[in-house]
Amino acid sequence: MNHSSRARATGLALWAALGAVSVTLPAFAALGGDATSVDADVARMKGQAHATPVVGYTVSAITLPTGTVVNEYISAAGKVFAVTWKGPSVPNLQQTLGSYFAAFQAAGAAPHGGNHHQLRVQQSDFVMQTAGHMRAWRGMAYVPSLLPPNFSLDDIK
Amino acid sequence: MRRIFIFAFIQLIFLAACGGGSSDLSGGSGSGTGTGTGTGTGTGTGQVIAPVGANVVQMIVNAGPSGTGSNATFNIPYVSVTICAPGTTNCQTIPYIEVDTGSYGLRIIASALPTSFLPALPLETSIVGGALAECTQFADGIAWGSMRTADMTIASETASSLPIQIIGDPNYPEIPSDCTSHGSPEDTVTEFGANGIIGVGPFLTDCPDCANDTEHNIYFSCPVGGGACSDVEAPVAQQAANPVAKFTTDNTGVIVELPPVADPAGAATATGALVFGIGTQSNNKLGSANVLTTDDEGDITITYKNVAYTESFIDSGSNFTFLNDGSIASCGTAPNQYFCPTSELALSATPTGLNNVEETVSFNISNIANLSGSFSAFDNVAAPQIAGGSQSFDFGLPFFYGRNVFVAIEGAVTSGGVGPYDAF
Repeated sequence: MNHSSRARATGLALWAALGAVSVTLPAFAALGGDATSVDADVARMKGQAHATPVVGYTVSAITLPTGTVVNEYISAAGKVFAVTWKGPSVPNLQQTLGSYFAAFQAAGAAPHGGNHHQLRVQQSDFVMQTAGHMRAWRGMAYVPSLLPPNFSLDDIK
Repeated sequence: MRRIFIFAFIQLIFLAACGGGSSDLSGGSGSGTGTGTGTGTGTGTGQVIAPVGANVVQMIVNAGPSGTGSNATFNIPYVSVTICAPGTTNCQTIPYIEVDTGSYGLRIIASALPTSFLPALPLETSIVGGALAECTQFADGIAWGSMRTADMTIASETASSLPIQIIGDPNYPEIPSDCTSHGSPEDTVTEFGANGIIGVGPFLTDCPDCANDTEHNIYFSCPVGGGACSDVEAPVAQQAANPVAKFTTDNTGVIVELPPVADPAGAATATGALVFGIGTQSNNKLGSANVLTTDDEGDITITYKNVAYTESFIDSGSNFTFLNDGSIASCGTAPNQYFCPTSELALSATPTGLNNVEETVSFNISNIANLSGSFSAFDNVAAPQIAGGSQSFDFGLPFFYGRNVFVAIEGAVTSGGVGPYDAF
């Protein structure tokens, strides 16, 4: 399965998960930001969003034209509390991480032994890990203070 | 900021070593000047490391081009390459080129070249008529610079008119926002931890999709002479390319050969070989190695503690083994965060190919605080993947010590089948 077909399959699975439930598709928003109608951001990423409601939060899967999929975890309060991405190229992380992008930049600029395939950022209110190799990059980031009650990090897939 | 992170880390392991850990602090510099040995080196494990020869270049793991202190690297293997202006004898040999099985293409930091040499390397012309440039994406940031062509020679193998990236090319200093939005630039030798990187993984080029899609933000066209660059499609023939596939012989893949290192102490340096070709010479036969085919992203499955991580990989460019195990204590401050069990752990994991061939391998994880801060080669260092989110087990350079690892290029026909595959 190539990148784009895998991405399509993900999107289809999410549509299937929606079933007959009718939901408003959240627009794209940065980590820590509000998930209310940021149509300009969707346009910027040129993505297509599909939402899957889960008890206590919603997962919005945005498939970018590159085949990379960005998943946003949106709390009942409308805040993006976690993001993940995976695909052949890295998404626009300035857009995806919002105000937390600077922390990623700082960590990348700090010496870390010559390794270009993994990077971890851990601050009191921002945690991130990126990993992978060319053609298959992945990452995740979350804001601990925004996690919904009883949310398990293992639920971030 | 950057110095604080690494200084804390160095200090941590140095203090621990002084407090009764390794007694090998004086382990010597042993920097990258080892001589080519005249005989294959048996390592006592059945492993034979090929002597330097027509298809073999010496590879060394040491503290890297920036040497000591906060900028020292560890578990990064380096080779030297020679690049020439195409069709000429105007050449430069550059040491400290990182060997990376997790990327594709040769990239050289501009400052590692004499300024007078750079203009001798022709710029690639983008499809819209400008100078082609690349924003290489890595997990920790980006590398920005021009795309040029060069004849590359390593050992006696040559890739003619190879598209290469010149990272930090002073002629194209203006990094477009579509590039910086993906991470922090690593465009100097100190930032990058090497004078360059040679991507010899299992694929031919770095972004085939970029031939008809600018959305990756990887290739750009710049006005010749400077100015704002914009996203552009880059035909595959212009992309940074795995140089091994361009050799006229021994072009089916590589073997990364590193000797065992003392465990738990590690070693100041480790000297091995990068061998070109699989099954093309008497010194690169597959032998009894198991062939694990990869998927079309270069991934395999690695099973660890009964969990199958389906997006896993074996990567010489990862200086730790990265895995998900909340039962092992971790120490340090991100980005320098590592496992630190109270005593060395003996573990195992099972890589499985797309072809369902599997092989269980043993590995150890030590408390890095007990290891020498002056050493550069360790087979027992690992770091945590974040809880949740990751389906990946990254077997980094620790996996390679004491084991010859074959990486076959997509489409290459070998005695072990057609690439892409890993074998060991």
